[in-house]
Amino acid sequence: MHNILNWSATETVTKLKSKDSQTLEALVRQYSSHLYNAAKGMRFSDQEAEDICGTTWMTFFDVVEKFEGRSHIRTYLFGIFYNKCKEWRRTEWKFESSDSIDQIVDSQFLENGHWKGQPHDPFAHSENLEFNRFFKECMNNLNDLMREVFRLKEVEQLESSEICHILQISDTNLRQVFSRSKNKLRNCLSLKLGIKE
Amino acid sequence: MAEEAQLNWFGTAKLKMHVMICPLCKNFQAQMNELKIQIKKNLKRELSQDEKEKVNDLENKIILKIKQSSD
Repeated sequence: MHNILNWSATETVTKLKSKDSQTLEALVRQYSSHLYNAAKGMRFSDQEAEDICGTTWMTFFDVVEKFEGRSHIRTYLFGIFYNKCKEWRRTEWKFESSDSIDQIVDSQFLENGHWKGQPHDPFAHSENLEFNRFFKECMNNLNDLMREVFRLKEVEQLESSEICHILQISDTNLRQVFSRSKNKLRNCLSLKLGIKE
Repeated sequence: MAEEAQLNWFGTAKLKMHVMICPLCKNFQAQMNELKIQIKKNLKRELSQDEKEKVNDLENKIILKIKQSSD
């Protein structure tokens, strides 16, 4: 079992920036599985996930002396990781000022702000054996940015400020992407579960 | 009033105050939290044994490069 260091401690940050081999080794042992898991969660193949993790670490070693210690080292590392993912897919994760889900959600409300139909008990369907499969399918239907925002917020339970830093998006954009991801998941699940509202 | 509280995901100050006191809405919030826990459990991905071995190999390669560059 590898040693887990206090990555926020000044001494540890100093050692990282000076590329102390033992400290770097401890970091690699602690976070490689997280990077690999995140890459697989983004639907990269085994080989692609390994390659992305490898290049993430190489880039990290090149730039670690620039790390100022204002954020957690994990944030810095995952910022590099997500940039590698975007390079791999040869795409930028653009924030769209509008999304079709906005109109779909609007159409479900009356002008006075009330729902048009009675909302359904969210727990009623969670015991449906298909629910988990449907949920994963609906997650896969989200674009990369929405899926990662939802995952980092709801599954990894990172703070919004850290997510903004990792994904290089503003707080306003984060909130909008997050609400759209929830709305799209809700819409998708309603369709798959045959819920009419 | 319970319906209103159930509806609005985004909430307003008044709605949040309502949810704090309405027992039906509190129940709904508790159910939502349970659902979130379930979703989180399903989406939290564990590495398979095969993947763990791949990660271990990757770590060893990276660490070897660290040692070589510090020599």
